[in-house]
Amino acid sequence: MFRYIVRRLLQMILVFIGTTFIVFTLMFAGGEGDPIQNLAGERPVSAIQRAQLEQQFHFNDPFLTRYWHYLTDLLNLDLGTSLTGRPVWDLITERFPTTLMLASIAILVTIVFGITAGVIAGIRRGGIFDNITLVVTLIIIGIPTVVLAPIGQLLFGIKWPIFPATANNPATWYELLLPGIILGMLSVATAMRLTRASVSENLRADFVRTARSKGIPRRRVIGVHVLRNSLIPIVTFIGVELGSLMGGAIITERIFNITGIGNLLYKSLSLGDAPVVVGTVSVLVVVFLIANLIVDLLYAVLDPRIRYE
Amino acid sequence: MQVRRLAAWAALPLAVTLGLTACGKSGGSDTGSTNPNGVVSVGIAEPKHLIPTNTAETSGSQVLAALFAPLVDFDEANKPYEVAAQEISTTDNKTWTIKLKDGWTFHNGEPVTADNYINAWNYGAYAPNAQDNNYFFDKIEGYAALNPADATTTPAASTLSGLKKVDDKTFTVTLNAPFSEFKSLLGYTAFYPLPKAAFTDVAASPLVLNKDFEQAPVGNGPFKIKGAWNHDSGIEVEKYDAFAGTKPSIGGANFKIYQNDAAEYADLQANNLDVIKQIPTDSLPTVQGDLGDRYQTSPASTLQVLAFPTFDPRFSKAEVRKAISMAIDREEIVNKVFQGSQRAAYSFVSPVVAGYRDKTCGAACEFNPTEAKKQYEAAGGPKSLNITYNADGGHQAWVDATCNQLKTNLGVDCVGTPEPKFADLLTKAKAKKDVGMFRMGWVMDYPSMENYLGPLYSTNGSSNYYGYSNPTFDNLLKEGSAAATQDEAIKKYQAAEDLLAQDLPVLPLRFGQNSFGHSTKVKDVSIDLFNRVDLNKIQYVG
Repeated sequence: MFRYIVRRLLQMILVFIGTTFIVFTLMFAGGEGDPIQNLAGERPVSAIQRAQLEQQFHFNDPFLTRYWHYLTDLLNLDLGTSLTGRPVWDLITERFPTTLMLASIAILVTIVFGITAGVIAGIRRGGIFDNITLVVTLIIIGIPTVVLAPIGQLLFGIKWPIFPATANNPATWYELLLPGIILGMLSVATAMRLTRASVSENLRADFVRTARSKGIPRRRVIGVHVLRNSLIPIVTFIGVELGSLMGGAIITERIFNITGIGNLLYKSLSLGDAPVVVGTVSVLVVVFLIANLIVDLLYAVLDPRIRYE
Repeated sequence: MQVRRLAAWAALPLAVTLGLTACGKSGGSDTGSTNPNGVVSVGIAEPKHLIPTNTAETSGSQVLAALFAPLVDFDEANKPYEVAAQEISTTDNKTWTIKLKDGWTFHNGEPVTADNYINAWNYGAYAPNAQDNNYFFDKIEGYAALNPADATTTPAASTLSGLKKVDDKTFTVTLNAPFSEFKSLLGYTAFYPLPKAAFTDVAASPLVLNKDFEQAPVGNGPFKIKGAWNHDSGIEVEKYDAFAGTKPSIGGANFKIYQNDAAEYADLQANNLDVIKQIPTDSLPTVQGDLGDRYQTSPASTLQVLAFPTFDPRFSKAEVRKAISMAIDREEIVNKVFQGSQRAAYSFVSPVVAGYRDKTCGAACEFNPTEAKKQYEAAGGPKSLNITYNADGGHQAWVDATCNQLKTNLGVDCVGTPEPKFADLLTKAKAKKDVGMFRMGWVMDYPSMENYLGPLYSTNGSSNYYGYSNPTFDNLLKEGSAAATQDEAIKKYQAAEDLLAQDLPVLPLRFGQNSFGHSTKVKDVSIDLFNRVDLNKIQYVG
């Protein structure tokens, strides 16, 4: 177990260097046009101002030198400053709690609705509930967020103001409830289909038959034997989902004015604010890797047959 | 039963949601008399900076307009009148004497003196400070010494030789060359004063700004900041009781920072926000129904043009350019593509400046397809055209529409060529690469005809990307800048504008329009020349 974790951590370092290098290259080695002009918008930038800013952001140093500076600064948790002069580390830590709150609401919605409905549908496979949930979830999954989120906002934020239409900064749980539910709904269908397939398969497994013939009550058979063994694919799915939600739900965050990671990324990308993009992505890579490691470790908890070498 | 219990669990969240529906609050607002202590909320985007000499975008300048009072403001006819200044006078348009009003103080109690202006301007003009509004000071004598051509060298001087203090309340500004519109220039954000508290040491040279000054700027304006700038959240200001100028009729303002304008508009509809400065384009078709008479429009300073690379032999003949102009139906594009949110332009200067005349472009801008085709063929115009635009600004629709009109009316091929960013387009045009026709946009820096002519069309103009050069035009501008009165200056500028109508280096297409909306809690909402909500006029009734 310990050796496994150490090996995974070492792999993470390699993945981290690889991904930051790619992002750094993409953001700084051209392609994004001229960051200084982007910052100025449609006005001309004087040669003097340009030279000052280039010096300040080391735009003229050779590429590898800049990447090396970046990596060494990173080890000291210094992510540099944005083109507007704010520390990138502050920008990220300010927004991370909000994104985390939004992600947990979304995941909770996915788990509560997806797994519950999936278990019921799995037990009563082919029944009315199974068919209805299949149709409903397929409809929801068929509507893209760009449509679902504004409709949700219009109906429950403006027409019948049950929820706030937009979120302030810092956001409260209440303000994040509606966007969280909408975000979670999108993965309910997947979670439900996964649970349903896994449950109905396990119901026919040998160990369930054995348990039943031993006279164990049905409640315990399903709750302990079937559910626990059915959770592995769902935990995988939710782990990946949580990782990507940490990256910020760009569309949902923009529609509900949530000051989270997604909005930060969107704004910096459109401004060509490379230091912020690279910094944010670096942090996200770490978060994603850790989330995946935790998921992998959870497998052993759910299924004792899995051993880590 | 197991199943029934699970079903009950699944039903619980639904029941909670339904329960919430029942207790959703019903908002009602009664329109009473005006409340002098009311706080108005205004939607903005996150400002880049809150330092006068470094704030070039409208969100930052909206906040600064509350915290600072300008030397001059503009009346109904867009002519400047004194606010913080007692008198601004000159005899030769080259040396200007600025006398300040007595009794004005900064929010920290410091009296406003001539030094406050001189220091702030010196700081802004000093190249190593890399201020966005640095170029506004380039007309003042000594600017070159602070801004060496080789950007890596340290400037020879750190103060503008053209700024001289006479006494505590008076200073003179000497310009490089006569400039009759200097008084109008002083209405811009870049020319606010800064208190002593803004600098680490006012005696130092060059001046160094306190690092955290912009987190809570101290100004001389009608409002003072409450707390500090909450990044990506909001900025609150409250009435400054010791303000010596005309006091506003509200108690304060809350600038709410939005990440995008669609969310801002949703908040206005939910009555959580009082003023939105620009209705999002996507919502324009429905805005009348959403807001009714709380939706308003006013002319804005932006001008959109179609520019020609006049150095390119295909477009070097004015007749070709004129024929293309006559083949474009501006009204149709404004109505169909922009839903009437912009206005067709038939002049080269915006209606927001003094001296504007309608239809200066004359017959060349009137839609006349038959005449256009005849003249185009007679002049030997190119068989295929293209219009380069920046893909990130929502320009594709009107560029394609324009191309279609040219195809139909001139019988030529025409395609739109996207460039990722406007900067890429300008870089290519400047390098005289093949861009074909291209889009250009202009936002006014100071309300004067000169600002729509000098930078864009004079031979050495900072934004002359078309290679246009006409010595008569350059001379007229020079004469206008040296004119004794503003009216005489306007006459010269108008003569210069008439030359553009003959030469057509660009085709005026559209004037911008402020499309703004407000909640039921405020009235007398207006947007000023610089696209800012006028907090001196707005009233709170909520």
